[in-house]
Amino acid sequence: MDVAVRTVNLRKTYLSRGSRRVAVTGLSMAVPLGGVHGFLGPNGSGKTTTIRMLLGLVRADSGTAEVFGEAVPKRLPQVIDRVGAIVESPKFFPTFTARQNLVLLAGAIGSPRHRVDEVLEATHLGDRGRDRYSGFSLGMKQRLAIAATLLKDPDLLIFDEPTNGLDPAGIREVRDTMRSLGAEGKTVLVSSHILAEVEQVADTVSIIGHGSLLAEGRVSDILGGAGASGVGQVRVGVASPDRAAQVLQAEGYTLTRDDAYLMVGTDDPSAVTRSLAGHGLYVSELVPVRADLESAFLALTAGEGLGGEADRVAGGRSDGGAS
Amino acid sequence: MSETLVSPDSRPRTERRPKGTSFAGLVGVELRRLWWRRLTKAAVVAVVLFTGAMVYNAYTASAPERLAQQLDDFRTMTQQAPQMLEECKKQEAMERDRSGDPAVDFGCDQQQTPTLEDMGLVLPVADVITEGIAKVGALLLAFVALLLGASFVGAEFSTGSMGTWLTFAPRRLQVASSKLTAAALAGAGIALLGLVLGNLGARMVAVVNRPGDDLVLPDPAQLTDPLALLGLRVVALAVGAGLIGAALALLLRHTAAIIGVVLGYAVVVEGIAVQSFLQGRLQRWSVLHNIEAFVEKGSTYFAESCTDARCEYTQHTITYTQGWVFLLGVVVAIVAVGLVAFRRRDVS
Ligand SMILES: Nc1ncnc2c1ncn2[C@@H]1O[C@H](COP(=O)(O)OP(=O)(O)OP(=O)(O)O)[C@@H](O)[C@H]1O
Ligand SMILES: [Mg+2]
Repeated sequence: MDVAVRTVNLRKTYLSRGSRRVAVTGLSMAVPLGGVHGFLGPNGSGKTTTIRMLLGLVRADSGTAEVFGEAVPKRLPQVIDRVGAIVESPKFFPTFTARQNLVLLAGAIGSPRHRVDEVLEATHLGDRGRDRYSGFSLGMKQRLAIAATLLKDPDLLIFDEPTNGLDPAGIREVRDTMRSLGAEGKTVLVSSHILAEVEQVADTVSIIGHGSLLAEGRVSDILGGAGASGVGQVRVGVASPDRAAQVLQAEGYTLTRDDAYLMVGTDDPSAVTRSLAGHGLYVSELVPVRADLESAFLALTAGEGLGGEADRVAGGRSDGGAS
Repeated sequence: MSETLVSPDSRPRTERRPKGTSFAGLVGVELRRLWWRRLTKAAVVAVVLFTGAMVYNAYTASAPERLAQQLDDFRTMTQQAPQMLEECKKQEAMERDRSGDPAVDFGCDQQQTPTLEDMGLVLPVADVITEGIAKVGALLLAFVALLLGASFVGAEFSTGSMGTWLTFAPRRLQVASSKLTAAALAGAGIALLGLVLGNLGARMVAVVNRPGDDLVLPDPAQLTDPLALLGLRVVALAVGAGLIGAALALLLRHTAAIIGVVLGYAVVVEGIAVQSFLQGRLQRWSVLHNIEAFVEKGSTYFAESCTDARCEYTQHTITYTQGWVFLLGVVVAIVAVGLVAFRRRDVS
């Protein structure tokens, strides 16, 4: 498999005020070439640190990393032209205009001046180019950061929690952007602590917790695998759940009760309705629930102390379920 | 379908992907950023104001009416001089008698003959006025250059844009060198601006304050050192200060921290420690003394030296050579430390 990014046993310890904090503990992951790759992990799990190491901003204690086959940070100058990145939040000179900021960055890579206007147009900032960056809304800042990455026409785009703080329209815009970049054959590495986001945009995913890899693969496989033995679930609403449970159990389904509903493990919901109808039980509601994402994620990252963020994960899931 | 941020026309029209830029290109970009900064404009205004103030000062000090007044005072003084010398000698003799030490010296001979030149009562000549402005202004220009260099790089850390920058130009040493170069050039620019304005001002003062025939004054002594060389040294000092400012920013990452360190050093080390420890002998290694030695081609300081019986203050010289070697050493050391720190450390 061709990879865009590979890390092997990457490790980083921060020393601050005498205390040591291991942020990344031997992370080995691979980001396949082309498509959107989610980098999922709870707060403080080391996503940003890993991205910084890939970009040569932070020096790893040990382990290796490569981007497009070049060892980084050693050979970063050879590949940096193919990599566009936004780490944590967009960072520009606040007193300069959007245009000035881009002109400087274009100068750093020897990009022609007209590219600046092109990328401003492309990110719908054409008419705000002469405004100071400090007066930009968060969404505009994010767009300017994307404009900056486009100056290079990169093959790999690294976005670190790009939807943080954006309104629904902004989130959607960024997600669509990532998807269309992925569809074009670019590699997009997007970190997130929101499961639903990764589920919506990513083809493949690496899940990390406490600075090391917990799971990696196609999103569908990972999420499927997290359910009961690789099988999806359907939520069944029926007038007499107790009888329905007996019927289904007799036919060999695994199931759990969820208040008035039954959660039935199956990949073929129509078989469930057929079985129940055969016993005179009619299904009032049938919702496929692709593997229980939230519990899968929480199980994988158990003990990470998600705190308030758990709410967001849950909220994101129900969005996903409704679609 | 909602719009994405990457429409097909956002692809570069040039087929070739940009391949980075040269060191000179990076310096060019840094200079452009420097030019756009508000602090640069403020620094230019400050230099204009300060030079203006010094020119104004030279103008009032060499106004013909004032010179005439001083000339009067001087004449009165020279008339009294013999009496004062006599008085001094008398005091000296009394002291010798009292202490029984014939070596007591009141230095009466030195007060003997003040000349018009000693009193600064000379024709206002542009070069001489410029020299004065350059010598007084050297430190201030250097300080402005240091501030400019420090905030030029410090702002990149405080706004976080250093991280963004490094994802475009990842060669740390090259990046740091381009910033240092820009800061050095900024220092040179600031110094040149001050010197040129000072010289223009001095020429104007010399013309405006040329005394009438009624006021006869001697020409000032010839400058021992060509003005152009003095100017070069003032520029070099500002270049060094700009480099130090930028290098300290690479090291400390906060403009405020640098100002604190520099002012703290000036007050605590230069102002207090150097004077009070080792009977003042540390002054040989004081930055300010060495700056003076460099700019004015030599500097002196007094240090106490004690023999068994008594202590006395003796005058020591810091040579021009020591001055420039010392300062060059300081600049090289700080720049080296800044480069090493920036190359190794994490940038967030
Ligand atoms: N500059 C730093 N100095 C010291 N510790 C740090 C530094 N940066 C990060 N850490 C620590 O390293 C760990 C990983 O942080 P990191 O920012 O990589 O996590 P993250 O996965 O990006 O989290 P989030 O989802 O909140 O952005 C955290 O415990 C954090 O406190
Ligand atoms: Mg992060």
